[in-house]
Amino acid sequence: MLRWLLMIVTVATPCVLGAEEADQFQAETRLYPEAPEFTVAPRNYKKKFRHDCTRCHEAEDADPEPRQLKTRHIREIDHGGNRFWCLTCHDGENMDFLRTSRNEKIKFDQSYLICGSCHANRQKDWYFGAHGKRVSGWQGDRVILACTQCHNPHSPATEARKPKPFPPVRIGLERQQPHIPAITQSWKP
Amino acid sequence: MASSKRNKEVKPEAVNQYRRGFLTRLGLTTATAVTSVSAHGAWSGKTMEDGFADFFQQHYRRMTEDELQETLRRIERKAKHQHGVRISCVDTPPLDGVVFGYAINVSKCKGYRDCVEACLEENNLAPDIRYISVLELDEGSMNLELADRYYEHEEVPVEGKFYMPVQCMQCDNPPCVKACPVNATWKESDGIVVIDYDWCIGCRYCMAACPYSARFFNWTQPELPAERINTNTNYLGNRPRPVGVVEKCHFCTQRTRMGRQPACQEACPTGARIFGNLLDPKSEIRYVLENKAVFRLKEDLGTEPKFWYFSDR
Repeated sequence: MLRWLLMIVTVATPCVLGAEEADQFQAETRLYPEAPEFTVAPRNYKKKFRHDCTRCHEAEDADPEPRQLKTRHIREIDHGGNRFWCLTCHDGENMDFLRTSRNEKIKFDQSYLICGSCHANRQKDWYFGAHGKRVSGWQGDRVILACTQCHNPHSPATEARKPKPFPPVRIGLERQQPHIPAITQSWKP
Repeated sequence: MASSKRNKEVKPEAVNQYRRGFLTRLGLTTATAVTSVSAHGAWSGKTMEDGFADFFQQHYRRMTEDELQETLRRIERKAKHQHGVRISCVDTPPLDGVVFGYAINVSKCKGYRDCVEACLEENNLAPDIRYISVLELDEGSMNLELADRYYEHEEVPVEGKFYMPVQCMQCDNPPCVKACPVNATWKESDGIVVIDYDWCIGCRYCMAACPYSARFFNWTQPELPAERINTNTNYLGNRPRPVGVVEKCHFCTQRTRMGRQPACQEACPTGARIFGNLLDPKSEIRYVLENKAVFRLKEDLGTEPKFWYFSDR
């Protein structure tokens, strides 16, 4: 009897949660209905972006007071000119989710709904394909990257790095220098 | 007098014997030669048949389907012999209702040159050829004569500079096509300007005609290490090229005609490159052209490039 009860609970819980999630996560299609259909590519966060917040925050509630963060946190938030605190974007009740300025609980994959609350122009471009990157082919299903798959949300500027080597010069030739125009004397009558 | 003398000395039976001997020897030699050609592959690995077929190969647009298939198989055999790699060479026709266009967001390009590297690997380029040049320019200037394509920095982007990749603009009114004296280069129905490398005579008139310096000449036999060869090749695209022909960017025909993105778009880490079908009103490229302030290089020449630039600002 107990085994059956356990089984029912195990099977039913995700279904109920799934229905609840479906209600919560219907925010995106409202913004630009005329934008072409898309799906967001599966998350492939780099290690530095990977957070398992609920591991600690299940037991301990997130402190809404801004302060110097200690272990297992990001030391600095280089975004928003020091006006941001974790709970600006993260959901205080469940740290594995985000919360938009319209108080909608969303998944990490839907980060573009939050980014758009400040960067509306970029968000519009992203919906229509002028910003961001399409990772599928140019035809067929449109699979695009979400904001946080290129930008680190805690420091969103594109990082400077060493470029790939410059093109070789054919043997026997010299590297072509930019033409510096000779300074000519100003015309005098 | 001499003939009568020979007639006197050589008997008719002997002549017959001579001739018979000669014909036997000739026959044997020919048989041996043909056997060795077909069995061992004489002519430095190429069969005599392939050698002749190469010589008499038709222009791409005049080949029948059978001739084309035969040519493709021959190209594969040649690559196996020259580079020791088994490649697959196909001919993918242009798609109906598709004209390709490209747009680059110069605000997003950071000058990493990832596109240049990806192109090198994808298109089996000779070590001294790059289809894409990333130009480094001073912010606020558009003087291409002052652009540096050989920039070397510890880190890019450099303060006060911006980066602008240039490659073949796939002009709608291509001057290179007009300059070619043998019709070895032409514009396909999907807007890509292609080259039949086997028809090119290497006169380089097209290079002189191109205002974007987008064409390159193989001065030597391209050295392609076997491990670097991309085996997915296309007749008008990235198949290994012979010495003495001109080549250029072809929007990765081997990928884009199969619905994939060009290698440079796929490699771009900042999403600065937008590729798509100009005839599809819902495509990203159309959104860019309709909603952004776009410009093209050397527009005043009337070449009508299908390659646009825009910025976020």
